[in-house]
Amino acid sequence: MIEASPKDFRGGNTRHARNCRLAHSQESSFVRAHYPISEFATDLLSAANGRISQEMANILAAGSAEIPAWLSAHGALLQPWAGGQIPWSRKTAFFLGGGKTLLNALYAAARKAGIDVIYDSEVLSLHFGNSALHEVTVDHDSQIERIASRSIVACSGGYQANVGRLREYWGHAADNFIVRGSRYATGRILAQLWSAGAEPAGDPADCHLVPVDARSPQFDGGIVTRVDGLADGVVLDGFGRQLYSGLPADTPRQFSIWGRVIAASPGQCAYLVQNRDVLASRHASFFPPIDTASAAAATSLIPAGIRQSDIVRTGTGIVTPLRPGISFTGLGLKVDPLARPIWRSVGRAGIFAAGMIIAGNFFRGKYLSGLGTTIGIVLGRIAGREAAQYALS
Amino acid sequence: MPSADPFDAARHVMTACNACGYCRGYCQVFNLSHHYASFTENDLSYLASLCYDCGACLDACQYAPPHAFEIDVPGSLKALRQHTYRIYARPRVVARFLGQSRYGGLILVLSVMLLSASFLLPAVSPRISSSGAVAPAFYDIVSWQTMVLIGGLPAMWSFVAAMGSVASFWRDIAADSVKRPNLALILGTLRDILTWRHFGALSHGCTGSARWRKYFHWSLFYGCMSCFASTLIATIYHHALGEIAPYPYLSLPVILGAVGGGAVVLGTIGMATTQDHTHPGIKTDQSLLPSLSLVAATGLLLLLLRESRSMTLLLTLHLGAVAGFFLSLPYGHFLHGPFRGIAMLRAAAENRLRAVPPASATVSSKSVSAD
Repeated sequence: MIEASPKDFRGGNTRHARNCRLAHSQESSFVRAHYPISEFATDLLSAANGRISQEMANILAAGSAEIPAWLSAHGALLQPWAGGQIPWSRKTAFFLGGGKTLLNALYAAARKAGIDVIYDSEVLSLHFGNSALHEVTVDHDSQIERIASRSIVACSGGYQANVGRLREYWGHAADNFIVRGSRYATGRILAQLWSAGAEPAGDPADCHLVPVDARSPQFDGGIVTRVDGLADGVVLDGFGRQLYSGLPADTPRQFSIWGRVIAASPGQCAYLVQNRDVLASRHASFFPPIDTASAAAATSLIPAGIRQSDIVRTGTGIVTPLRPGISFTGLGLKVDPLARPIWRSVGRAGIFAAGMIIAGNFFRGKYLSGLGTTIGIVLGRIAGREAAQYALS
Repeated sequence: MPSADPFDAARHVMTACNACGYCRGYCQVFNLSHHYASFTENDLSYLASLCYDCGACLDACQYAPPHAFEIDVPGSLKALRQHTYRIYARPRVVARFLGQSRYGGLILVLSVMLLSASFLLPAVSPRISSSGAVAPAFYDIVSWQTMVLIGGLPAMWSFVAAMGSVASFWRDIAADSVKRPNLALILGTLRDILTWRHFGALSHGCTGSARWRKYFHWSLFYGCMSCFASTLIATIYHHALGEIAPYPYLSLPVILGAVGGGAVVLGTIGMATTQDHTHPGIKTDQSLLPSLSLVAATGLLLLLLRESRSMTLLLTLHLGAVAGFFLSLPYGHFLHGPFRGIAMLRAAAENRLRAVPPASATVSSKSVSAD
C-alpha cells in the first residue's frame, strides 16, 4: 500500500469521519430500529434524483449491511447507543473514537495480514502494462522508485485539495475555499486515469461545501471548524448585506446550502451575527465568536462593512467570520459492480478503484450522512478482493 | 497553540473535544464533559482528576500533535493535575519548598533516614552493649514511646495537612454538586475506586502496559492497606493483649506486614518500569514511588535480619523512612488518590442527576449533521 501522507495523517479524509450509513434488518447495539437494504437504495436514488444506476445503489446498500461484522472482525469498534452518548440514529452507526480510531484498527489489521504500508510516498504516475504488469512511479522521500504490480487499486479520493482543478468549475472563488480534510487529496491519480481513457462519473458541481470558521487552517481542520446555527442568526456578506434572505425558512438549515451561498458571496467571506445569549445554551465553539463590543478584536477580522451594518451597530451581538469549507468533491471515475473503471476505448485489466474517487457512482447533488465511509468500506472490500483475485489469476 | 496556564490549556482542549465529540463513550471524562457549555477552573480540575491517563483518546484524536491544533487531552489534564497538587497543598510554603525538585519528597525521606540513623545509633549503642543480648528486641533499642513519637507525629502532621488539601479541593470541586451524598452513592463510588472500574473501561485502553499498570497499582494500594492493617493489629496486640513486638513470623502483624511490604515493593517497581513516557515535558512528582519503596524495603529487611547485628541500623533507617514518608506525603503525587475519589463522587452525583429528566445545566446533543 502506497500512502502519500506521513503516518500521522494516513487514511485520507477518513481520519475526520464520524459515522457510516448502513442497512440493517433489526435494531442492534449500534443502530436503532431497522433500515432495509431496499430503503437505503431508494434513499440513494432519490437523493441523486435518479442520476445514479439502480445496480450500483443496490450493491452499496447490500454491502453496507455487512459493515458491522467486517469492522468487528478487524478490530474496529462501533459505538453502542446505550450509553446515551450519541444522537438517535437509525441510518448511521458511529465509530467509537471517530475515524482515526477506525483507521488505527484497520491499519493494524492490515499489518497483521502482512500488508506493508509505505508512507510519505506519492504515486507520481501510472504506467499501464500491455499484458501482465503495470508500474507506478513513486516519490518516496524524494527518491524516485518504480514499483510493478499485476493489479492496482486507486483509492486516492477526490481533488478537493487541488485548487487549480477546483478553479475549473468554481473559478477564483476556489482560492478562498478551506479544505476541511486531507491536503493529499490532489486528484493526481484521478486525472491520469481520466486521460488514460477512464470514464468520469459525477459532476464538477458535486461536492460537500459547508460553512467553516474563517480562522480555520487551510487543510485538515475537520469537524471542529464547522459553524452551526446559521439559520438562527443573521448572515451578512463583507459589505453588511444580508445573504440568502429571500428563500423558504426551512431551507437554510442544511449545511450544504450555506456553503454554496458563502461560495457565491463576494470574496467568499460571510459573517454570522448572533445574539450573545446563544453562548449560554450551546457548547463553546473551537474558535470563540468575536464580541462586537470589543473594538480591538473586531478591527482585524471584521471589515468595516460589517462593523457599520445596522445589526452590529445597534445590537450587542457576536460575530463569527465564515468561509466555504470543502469536504470532498464528487466527480470521479465510473466503475462497474466489480470496482473496475469503465474505459472509453482500450480496456485495461487489473485496474480497480475504491473510496471517494468513485463517489460519483453513488451520489449526485445531495450528500447523505455517513455515505463516504460506507463507499470506502463496501467498495474497498470489493476492489481489494477483485484485485487480489486478478493478481493471483 | 497550547497555553502556558494549565487551566487555559485544559479549557482549550476540552472545548475542542466538545466541538468534536468523537470520543464520547471513551471514558467518564468525555461522557461528563459534553454536558458543560463552558468550563470553570473547578470543572477542569474535576475532569483532570477523573482522567486515568490511559492514552486511548490521544491515539484516537485526529487533532493530536503533529496536527496544528496540538490537542492532547491526557497531556493537558496531566499537567493540570500536577498543578492542582501544587495549589491545593497545605501549608503552601512547605509545598513550594519541596516542590522545587521532582525529587523533593524523596530527598526529605533520605534526609530523615540519615538523621534518624545518625542521632539514634549513637544513643542506642551503649544500651545494646549493656543489655548484653545477642539479638536485642526492638524496644531495647528505641523505646516504644520514642517510636510512637517518631512515627506518630509525622503521621498526624501528614493527616492534618492532607485533610486541609482535601477539604479545600472538596469545597471547590464537589461541595456544590454533591449536596446529598447518600450511602448508595458513597458505596458505589468506593466500589469504583477500589476496583478501578473506570480505568481502561474501553477494551483497548486496557491492553499491554496499561493493564499491567493497573495490576501493579492494585499491588501497591492493597499492599499499603495490608501494612496499615498490620500496624493496627499490632497496636491492638500491644495495648489490649499486652503482647510486645517482635511478634513471631506466623503472627497476623508479621504476615500482613510482610505480604503488604512485598506487594508494595512489587507495585512500586512495576509502576516505575511501566511508567508512561508520552509526555516527557510534564514535570511530575517522582518521590512517591521511591519513598514507598524505601519504607517497604527497609521494613522487609528489618524483618528478615531482625536477629542479626544489622538490626539496629535497619531499625533506625526504617523509622526514619516512615517518618520522612509521612512528612512528605501531603505534597506531590499522593494527593491524586483523595482528589480522584472526590472527583468520582461528583461524577456519580452528576450521573445520578442525569438519570432523572435532564438538568437545566445540560447541553442538548448536537444533532446529526451532514458529516
